[in-house]
Amino acid sequence: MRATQVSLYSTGDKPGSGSGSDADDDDILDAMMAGMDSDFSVATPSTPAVPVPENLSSEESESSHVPTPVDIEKRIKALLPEYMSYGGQLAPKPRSALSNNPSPNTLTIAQLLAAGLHLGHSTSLWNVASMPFVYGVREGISIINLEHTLTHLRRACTVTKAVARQGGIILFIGTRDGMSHVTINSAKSCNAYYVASKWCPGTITNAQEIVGPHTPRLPDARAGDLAKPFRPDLVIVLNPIENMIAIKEATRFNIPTIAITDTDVDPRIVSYPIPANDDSVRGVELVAKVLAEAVKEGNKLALETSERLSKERIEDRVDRMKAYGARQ
Amino acid sequence: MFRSALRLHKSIASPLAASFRAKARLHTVPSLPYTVEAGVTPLLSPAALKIIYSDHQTGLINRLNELIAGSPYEDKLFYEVLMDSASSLNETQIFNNASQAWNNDFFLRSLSSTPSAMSDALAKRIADSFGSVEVFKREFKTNALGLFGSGWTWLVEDKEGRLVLLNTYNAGSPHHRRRMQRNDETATDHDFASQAQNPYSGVSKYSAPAKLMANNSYVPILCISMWEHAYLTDYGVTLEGRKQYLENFFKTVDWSLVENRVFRASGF
Repeated sequence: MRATQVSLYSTGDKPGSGSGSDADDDDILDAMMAGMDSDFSVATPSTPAVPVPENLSSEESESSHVPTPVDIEKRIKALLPEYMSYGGQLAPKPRSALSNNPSPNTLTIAQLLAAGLHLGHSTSLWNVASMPFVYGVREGISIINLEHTLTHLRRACTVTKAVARQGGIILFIGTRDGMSHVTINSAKSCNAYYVASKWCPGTITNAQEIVGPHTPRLPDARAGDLAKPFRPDLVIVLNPIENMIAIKEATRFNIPTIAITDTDVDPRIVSYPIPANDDSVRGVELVAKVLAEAVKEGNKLALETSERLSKERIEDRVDRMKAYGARQ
Repeated sequence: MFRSALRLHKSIASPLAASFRAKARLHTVPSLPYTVEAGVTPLLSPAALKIIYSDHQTGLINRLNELIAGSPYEDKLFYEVLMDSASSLNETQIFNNASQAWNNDFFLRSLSSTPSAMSDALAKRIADSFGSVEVFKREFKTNALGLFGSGWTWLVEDKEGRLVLLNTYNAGSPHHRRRMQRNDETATDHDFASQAQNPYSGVSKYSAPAKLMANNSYVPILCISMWEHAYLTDYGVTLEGRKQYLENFFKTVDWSLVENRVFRASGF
């Protein structure tokens, strides 16, 4: 009788006779079930009712219809986007109230116009290679097409943000007299480097001589070891016509360059030109602030990524500890 | 110096959020694929749907926003709030509200007034675990009717690839091992033979085993709300009323969504 029960509702490793506390229940059940199992139409599916893992090898024949094991972590990860959409929607992040810097995506051409970024140089001074970016001529000066300015500025911001996200070193170069505060403020606001007075030739190519004396040595450096200065990963030049040497040095070492190229400069000397007026302080300040904002966003993403990775690493370790039986 | 006036601030739609705009990001109630005025036929009338969605879901989200303001959960995504608060007893209220909101949304968005029929692939997958679709429906109903109190009945997938049924009481969630609130993990013995006499015990051979599993043990596929406020308006509290509720549930589930959950990224 008990054997019949076990085979009908085979619960695997549950003989039912082992536990002493349930002995009474089992006896009562046995008595009640004595002649009654045939009267009950209990569901007995065609599949075996035993959910034991040893049945679920992939060599199982088709007729037993046993599901194959799944990698449940991957299943949940695949369904996570859907699961994260349920419950409630978090409002989108507002722009930080502390940052006065404009975002490239909300900049309008009217703003660029107000900053004077469209005013190129006299037509007698123009560089022919800048012709694609010139809208026309008025009162003897070339007018820069602000649509190009905007698109190139956005592209430069994307590049800057990506470099910052990877933890790259960004260098702002702006050596004009009235613009030193622009360079310094924009670089400091995003923890980047700057050159606001004369660019010393060899800063990149001869870094050991020029930057080396100012570079702190590694903590485990032996006496007599030279400090190893590093190279920037991105160079942003606010007045390229005075900093040709800097651009050439960067190009020699395959460092991408961004520059505000006016109509008297060949835009092809840098990787990502921004055709705009480099004489107006207001204009240069706008461009520098937008780029600094992009650097800040990249820095924030890098921080979030590293936090997430370290959290995952810790959780992974805790999971492995639990798998080995450590108590939570 | 520059142009903060010219920058466009995207205003958040919810009136509650507008007053908090300077301080915190708030959660809002997600929208349903059907309107509340129409209800979801034949399962929920407009009045019932209003109670479940407009009143209950909104109330949960508002309460959650109140609770997480100023806490470390403030800027976290909803699912993150749910999982992170699950491990702490201090944040039980946060977890309960979040879990109930998640379950409710999961339930409501699996329904449709014009549901798609169950495809053959899904029927075969269900039959692999239950024997046949009829058995699945019967066992689902039995499990749901056996849930004595308020709770949710789930169809989940376990790591053996088997679809099993799960009852979580009150605001229990299948996502976190300590918060499933199954009310039966401490039971030492489940005698499936007794099912013959007590079909509404809430457990059967098709239920998930009654022991504390690891996290990420179950993938939720489908759920039904067995909270009284869900079926009270249209069906009352009688057993027949609840049986009718479950009957209508199977006519209202959008099986294409269920199939998507079962088969997406399968093959792992």
